[in-house]
Amino acid sequence: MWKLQEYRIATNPAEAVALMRKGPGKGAYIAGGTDMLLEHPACDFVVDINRAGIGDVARTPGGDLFLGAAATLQELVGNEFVTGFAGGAVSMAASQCGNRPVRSTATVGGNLCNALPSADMAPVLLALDATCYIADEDYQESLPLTDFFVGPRLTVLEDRLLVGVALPGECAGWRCASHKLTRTAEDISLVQVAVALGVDDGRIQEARIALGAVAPVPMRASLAETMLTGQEIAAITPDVMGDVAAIAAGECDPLDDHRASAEYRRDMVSVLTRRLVTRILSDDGDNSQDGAA
Amino acid sequence: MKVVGKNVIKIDAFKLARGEPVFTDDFTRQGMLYAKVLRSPHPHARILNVDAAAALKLDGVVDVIWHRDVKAIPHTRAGQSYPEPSPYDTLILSPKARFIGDRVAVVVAESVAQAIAALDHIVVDYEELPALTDMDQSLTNSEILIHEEPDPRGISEAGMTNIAARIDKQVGDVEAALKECDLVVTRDYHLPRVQASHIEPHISIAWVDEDDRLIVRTSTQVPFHLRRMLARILEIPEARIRVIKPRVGGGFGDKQELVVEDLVGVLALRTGRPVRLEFTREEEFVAARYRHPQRVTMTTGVMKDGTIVANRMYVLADTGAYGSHALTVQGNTGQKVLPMYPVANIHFKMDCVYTNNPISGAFRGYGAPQGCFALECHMDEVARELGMDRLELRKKNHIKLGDTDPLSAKLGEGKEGLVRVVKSTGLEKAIELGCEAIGWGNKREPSAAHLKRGLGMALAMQGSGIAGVDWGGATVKLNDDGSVNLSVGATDIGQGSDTVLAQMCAEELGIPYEKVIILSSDTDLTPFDVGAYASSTTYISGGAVVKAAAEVRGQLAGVLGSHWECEPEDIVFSDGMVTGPGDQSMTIAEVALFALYKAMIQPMATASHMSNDSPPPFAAQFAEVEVDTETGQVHLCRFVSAVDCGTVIHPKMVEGQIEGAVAQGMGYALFEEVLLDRTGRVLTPDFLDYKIASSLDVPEMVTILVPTDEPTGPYGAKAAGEVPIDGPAPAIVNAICDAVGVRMFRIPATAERVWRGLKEETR
Repeated sequence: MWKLQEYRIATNPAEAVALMRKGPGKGAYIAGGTDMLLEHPACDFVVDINRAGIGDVARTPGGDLFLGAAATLQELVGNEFVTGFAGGAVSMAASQCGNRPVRSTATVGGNLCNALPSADMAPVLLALDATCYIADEDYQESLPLTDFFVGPRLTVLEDRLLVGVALPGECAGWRCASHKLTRTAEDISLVQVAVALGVDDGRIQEARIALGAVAPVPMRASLAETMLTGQEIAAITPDVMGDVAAIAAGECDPLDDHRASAEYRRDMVSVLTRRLVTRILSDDGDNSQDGAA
Repeated sequence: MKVVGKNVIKIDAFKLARGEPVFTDDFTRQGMLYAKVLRSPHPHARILNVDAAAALKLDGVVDVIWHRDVKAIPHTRAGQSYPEPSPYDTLILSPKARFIGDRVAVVVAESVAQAIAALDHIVVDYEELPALTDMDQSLTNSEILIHEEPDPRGISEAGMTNIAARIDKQVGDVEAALKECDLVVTRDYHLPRVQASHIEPHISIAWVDEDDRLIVRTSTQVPFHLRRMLARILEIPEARIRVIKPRVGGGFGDKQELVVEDLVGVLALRTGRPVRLEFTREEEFVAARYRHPQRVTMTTGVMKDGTIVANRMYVLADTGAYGSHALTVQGNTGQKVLPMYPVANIHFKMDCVYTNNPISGAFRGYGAPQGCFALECHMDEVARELGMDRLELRKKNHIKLGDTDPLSAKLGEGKEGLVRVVKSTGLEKAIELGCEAIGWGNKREPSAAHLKRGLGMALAMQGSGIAGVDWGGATVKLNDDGSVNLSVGATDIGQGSDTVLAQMCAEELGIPYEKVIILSSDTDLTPFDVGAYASSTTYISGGAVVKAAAEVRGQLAGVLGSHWECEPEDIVFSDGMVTGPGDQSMTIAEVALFALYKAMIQPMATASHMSNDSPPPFAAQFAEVEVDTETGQVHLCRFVSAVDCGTVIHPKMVEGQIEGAVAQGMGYALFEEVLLDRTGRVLTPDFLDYKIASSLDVPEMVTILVPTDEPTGPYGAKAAGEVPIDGPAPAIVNAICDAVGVRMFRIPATAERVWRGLKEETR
């Protein structure tokens, strides 16, 4: 039984934060509620942010892709701004989350704020240099998504509200793909890898490798990224690829549990990283298909 | 035939589709109380005292009971025919907890929330005991005894060891025969603990009615066994108990067991108020029943030409804390499976041990999926060692028309059985059609470099009811308008038995299917039936329906014969018309009016049916997989089932049963496994971690029906419910081996296990 005393509805972000701070007792933000309705977190009231005007998906005048925190994952699957950004990699990642009914309710903000190590949207957004926008009662601040996650189920937010994330316009032309390794079609990930490469003039100018479910928080494999950055595509032999994959695997810190062993998870980071990099470099930017299947 | 063999509309389809209140829980009684079970946190502990004073002071809490409050009458909750072959090792509430999750106390309150809240306020004084959670340790350790009751009935070695049941039967002389063989192959196969995962959980509502009778509305497969069991353990006459089975949202054997009914019965009698108890999904995983985990050791002796000379199967099984179906499930592992290759020398031995783990029990296939996995993987292993084609090895040795099942006389339902001779088989045809459909011998190219494709197959047989044990009754009554009331004890749990029984009734009376009104499974209103298990309903209960309907037809023919002055045998019943040898003709409604108002008889009959035979349905099943050589992931691309279930009564529903079995069997092969920690605590009590196949996981399924005419079955029918769940796991695992050369001796073949197998292979 979920012993909830009060359901508060916010009409803008500042009001949401104010309602959260009003007390009495403990509150929680709710959007899709797909996790909360299962877990019944200990709180006295919830603040509904579905009407707070943060559910939009838009391209800013500067070319950034803004994903409102209350946008559903299904919206990300079909929205043309999203399908047209970085080869549609964000849409692809969203489409692998849960199933259609869950995606139609679950939100991108909820997925990130829950801060599970296996958060489905985290790797691809990390790989595309996402910036988080956070609202307080009287100001907003932004910070890189890499700084958002503090630990398992813990973010920098405290009682503030995530308004949305923005992907910089520079990434729109990057080649990006991700893969979620699961036991069945509808499952949380055992391992997730997202790779984004900014390629110009036959050379990798920018490289991002992001990993999910293999560390206390979703993370970037920065050593592996460094190894790829500046490389001429023609010079990336299978051996180089193997080294990059091995370095990425060395950077993660996976758990041994009943879902998979740490050893397996680490090896899968290597396999998926190699496959995704290979796949991205061998095609011409169309990543509408799953990168590693 | 006019109705049998046709895809008539499932008789309960409309009300289910409309969401009518037809399930146990779609019902309430004024003043209904809600029960919740306090479960043991210890794997093995004496319950010295339960202090419920604080809980009883809480709002809404009406009663708390523990073992001091109920009489200790040892019984089994297995839900089988009398005399029951499972050990009497269970009490309603026991002074000893034997697994994490065992019943300690039960609360009833005015609401579910109040009942849950009260659980935290019950103080239990436990004396913890050392526990056994490993079945090998249970087999050898007699220091720790899980059951040390003074007078248990039916425990193999009560008070001395932890063995709940054993069997050791032999035909021929396996040891001597193995010495003469060109090749002897021995392997161990490991089978996991899996849960049936029916959509509707266990739920019962009981109340005492105005005639002081206990009414139990419950989601069960065995209403009549339940009445008998409840009468004994509640110590009230059967006449004072009525069991009603509404629509049931799946059972798969898990609802053959008495899991909640005794508690609502006790509490309704104590409080005088209606009591409802529904399991949560977590309770289904902790306190319902599992398919028995087993280790099966197969030894096969074979000659160079592929002639199998001897088969030996040794089974070690974990029944958990109680011995529900311990003897009979494990008996089936040999009895239902080994006859596929009816060689002269067969040795079957099994030990089923108690552990301090959750309880194993009945689950669709009833031991055969375990045995079939071992045997059919083993056939591939034998073929590989022999250098012989695995299909040819099977063709050369499998059971054929006229063959005698060599084990049937030695092994029945927990006792000596009846001789079984194969009187109908479509197995050869099923193999041929299945091979054609899967493209046997033509492996398709994999779709990427890191993938490898493989094909696998398995043969399976089962039974149709339990020979000489299972029986059912049916009553057919004709109404004024030519409609009939068909009442049967048979239990529709979603599998569609109401529909096929109505079809048979209509066929026999020559009336439209829509004229049949069926009532099933109400112990006050319908004849007896053992219930829905052992693939018995179409074959056994169907036999009773055909007999009763034929008798009513005979009564009508008798009345009309006098009226029309003709021989009753010359009167034909067809398409709702009754015609005599001359130009006499009446509609069935006219006949009914004539019988009721002129002849003044009620055309009506009750018939019973039992069979001393249990004809085997057969299946040949084929899998095509693609294995990722780097991640170990197995993609099941296609699955073909060719099934001989005799005459097909309702093709669409049989196909549905087969496809459902493939989905369940696929889970058994690839991802379903209830994991326990070392204390027997369930680590996977939800669908987050207990993975079952969804519509996104199931492969392209090709289902081929291979009808035969079984002489002992109604309209030539045999069973279909269980046989298709036997083959998927071995077929899929054989396909994995064909793809990457790695033999998975342990299922489920998870990606990580296959990955490990691949790494060992390359080492």
